[in-house]
Amino acid sequence: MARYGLVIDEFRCTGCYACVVACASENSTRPGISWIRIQEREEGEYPEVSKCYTPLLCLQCGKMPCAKVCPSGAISMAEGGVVHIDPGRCLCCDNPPCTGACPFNVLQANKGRRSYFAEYLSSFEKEAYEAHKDGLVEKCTLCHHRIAAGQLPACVQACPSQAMLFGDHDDPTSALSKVISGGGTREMKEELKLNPSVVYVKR
Amino acid sequence: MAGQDSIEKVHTYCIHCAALCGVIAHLRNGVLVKMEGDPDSLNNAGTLCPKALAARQEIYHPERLQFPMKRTRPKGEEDPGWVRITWDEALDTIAARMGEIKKRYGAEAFFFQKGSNSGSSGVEWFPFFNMLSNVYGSPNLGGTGHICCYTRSCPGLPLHLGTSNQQPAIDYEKTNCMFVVGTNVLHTQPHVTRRIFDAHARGAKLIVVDPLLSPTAAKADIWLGIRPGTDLALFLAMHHVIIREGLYDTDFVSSWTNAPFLVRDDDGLFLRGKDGKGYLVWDEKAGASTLADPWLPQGVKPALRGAYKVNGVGCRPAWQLFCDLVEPCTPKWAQEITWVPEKRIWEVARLFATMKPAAADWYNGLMRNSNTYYTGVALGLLPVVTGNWDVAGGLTYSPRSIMNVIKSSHYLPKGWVEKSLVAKAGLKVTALEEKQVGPMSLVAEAMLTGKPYAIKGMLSVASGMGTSNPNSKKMMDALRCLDFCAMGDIWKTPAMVMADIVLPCATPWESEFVNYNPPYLMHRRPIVQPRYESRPDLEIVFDLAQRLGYGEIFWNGDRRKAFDQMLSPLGVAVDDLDRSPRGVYYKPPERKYRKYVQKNKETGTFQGVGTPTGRLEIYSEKLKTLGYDPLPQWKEPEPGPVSTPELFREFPLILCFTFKPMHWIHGQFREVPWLRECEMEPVVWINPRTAASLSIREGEQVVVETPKRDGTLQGYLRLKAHLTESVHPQSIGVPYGWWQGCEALGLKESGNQDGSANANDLVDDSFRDPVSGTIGMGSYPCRVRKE
Repeated sequence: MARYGLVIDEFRCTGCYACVVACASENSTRPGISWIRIQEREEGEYPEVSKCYTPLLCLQCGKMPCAKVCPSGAISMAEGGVVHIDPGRCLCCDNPPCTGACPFNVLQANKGRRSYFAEYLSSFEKEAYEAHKDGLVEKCTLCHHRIAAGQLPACVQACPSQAMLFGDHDDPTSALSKVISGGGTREMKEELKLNPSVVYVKR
Repeated sequence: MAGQDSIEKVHTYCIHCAALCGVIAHLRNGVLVKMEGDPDSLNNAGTLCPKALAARQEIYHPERLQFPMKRTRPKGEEDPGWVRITWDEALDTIAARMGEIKKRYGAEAFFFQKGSNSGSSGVEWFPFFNMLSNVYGSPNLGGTGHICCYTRSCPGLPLHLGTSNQQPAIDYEKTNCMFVVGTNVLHTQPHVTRRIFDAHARGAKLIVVDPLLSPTAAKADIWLGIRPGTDLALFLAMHHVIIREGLYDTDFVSSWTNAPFLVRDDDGLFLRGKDGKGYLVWDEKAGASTLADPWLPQGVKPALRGAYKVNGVGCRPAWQLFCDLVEPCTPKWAQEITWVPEKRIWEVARLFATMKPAAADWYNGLMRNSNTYYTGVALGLLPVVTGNWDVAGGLTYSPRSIMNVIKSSHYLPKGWVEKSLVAKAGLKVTALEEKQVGPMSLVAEAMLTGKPYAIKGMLSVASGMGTSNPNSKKMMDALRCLDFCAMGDIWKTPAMVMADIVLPCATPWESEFVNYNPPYLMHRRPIVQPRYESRPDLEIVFDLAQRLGYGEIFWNGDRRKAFDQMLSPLGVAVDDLDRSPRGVYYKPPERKYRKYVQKNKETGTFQGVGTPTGRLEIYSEKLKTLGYDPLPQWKEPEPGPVSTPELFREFPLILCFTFKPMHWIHGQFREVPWLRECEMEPVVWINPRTAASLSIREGEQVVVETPKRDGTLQGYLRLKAHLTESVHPQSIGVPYGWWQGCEALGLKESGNQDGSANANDLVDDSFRDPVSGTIGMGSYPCRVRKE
């Protein structure tokens, strides 16, 4: 078994949006929908001011607070430790409880226009955009289709800072496991004890 | 045959900026599906920035210019009445009008304009465009160096450092201290982003000087939030600390700079040997003057300090004059000027001088003021006096390309330098470098007034002239005066309302060139054929050359022959590159250090550097003879709160143009939805304390107004307010490059007029650096009010 995850180093994140565009290009998400976003936090007063950028995406929590509230049981832990929303079972609720249950607000229901331009370039593009049905709740899949093909998630691959490390939690020899076992990481909202597979470097 | 749905991967490289990232284009049935970084490229190691990742939306964008067009209504009318024409008609007309104008007014009356080198594939085809202007015979070729990279690389600091048209090459792998000024380098050079973090992770310090807390400043060990336009005072104070604490490298300064040269008290020129050959220094051991040619004879220990008399002439070593210059420039003095706390200046100067090897890098944040030239000089001398010049991990320079550079200035008629607008405007250093590029204000004035001579025609490719230079209103008025004007671009730009003919250009992804994307030499071929009727810029240049009768010079229209000429020093031809879709492996040349120590094969003496004396020049005699200050004397930026207090009474805030994020290059890409979603609209940065005093809240619409030199209104923008502590309470941050809409996201074009988002509407272009021609716009007066 494998449980894939990321170690994200916020210090190396410059808020450049390469991950955001890479994700949109890879997953053909709709305008206004992004499965990864950058949070910017500013502290202090000029010139004693600091700024921190945090890439935020589905943290693939082992506890899955989103799954607990899903009325149709559409959310489950899939292969590779990826939290999976089954599009066949998602009820496309009007006010989806799952999006509200996520402490990080990274689940989004598809709404608005399906694609950016009036015409599709190809049947392939049409298929890719139209797969994201109206009302369906979606989120980062850790690019499981890429992982399965032996590739890095699109955001990890693109990041010009190399701020994201991809690896297998269940493989003690992975670079990711070594960073975590060295005690150099923290969980987002640690107090919730969500057991996420996406963790952040301690600063 | 590949299956219908299989993915074809094409190796190419991105030429949207100078980073030159290796890219793998994924195509399905000939349609681009996505871009990915090429893991084998040494530049980007598989990473990729938003611009290249968004290539699909750029190439297939429905709002692109699709056909050549001509206007059918008089200039000045809102609607030019565009009518579609053929490429033949467009190019024939342009060639004919170019011929007429040359015949009637002389070749100098035709102006050739192109956009930023580092912002487009222009860095590749520009030499051929320049060749067209040279063969045509016009010394007037537009460019951006004076507001972009004048003291860094274009022309560089040839008089002080000998770095003519070369660029700094910082080896982040070896440096211990990165001193970054006026550039958001983590975003603007995506191929070095990871290298800077790697250097930092192994203990190198990152020091950033920027008035705004940019993403790069946010990562710094030490960030100096400086008053805009006062960097020169900071650098002089750093020199003060370095000299006062003896942190300079005496041996290096004595041997390789002109610091020991004796400067005459009477005329400020160097004391020379008999027949005017060589330079005199004072030999401390012998207690007498001796000749340096320019290198010291064995065993001579030259005096760096003191006052001497040689043959009755009072003189002092250049170093003494430099010491005298910086003696009063204490950190305390600089604190008053720069807003940077005195103790920070001490700290940074000591760090930079002692954390060897240390490197500096700077970019166009430093190219915005009337004191830009000397600011660059004082900064460039920091690695020199500390012995960090051209050493591993220090500041080194390298040629731009390992390929042949296409040169063509020999086609210009004799006396062209004197005839250029640059020379006529008295920009002697720029003219000295035989640079044709100059402030766009010179061109606008020639168009408007006919002085020093009239500019009657123009060909502009990849340049948004209505938004890309200070004082857009003036430029629009000037364009209206032209007899003929052709403009080529990917998108419709605000300036095009003044064009006679508009040409649709291909994106770089649809065009070809040859380049070195280490470790591969590559023939970049179109990954998809040019969309609509667009044509690559290079093809347009070649087509025009053919029509103007320059075919023979232009390789008889065979671009592959031109590529072969570029590739010739590398022992390959474009055919060889074509045989290998991946490109041909070419071992990256090793970095060379201390190049000045190498012996010149002909003379047997040290190679030195390309300055007038052959040594690094702390004191520039050449500047002195041209009528400029030989040393980097402190001068307030103009306009500025100190130099033009009258303007700041009504316009009390300092306007500071913000840094560039990774998803834009200057004014490009706002139309590309994936990129526009990174930053939906331009916002003005206002400190919350300032905003409170103006009753402005986050997200509210505000008006930013600026004055002309005479205090009357220059222009105003409408922007949303963003309250942030990343800007000083006396300053605001305004982003530039905004004018375009994004139809796909329902965002309308703002245009370039008053009330738009075009930052260049705000700047009167009459404040100018007398050396570099840089427009004083980095410390501009402004005021903000609620809409």
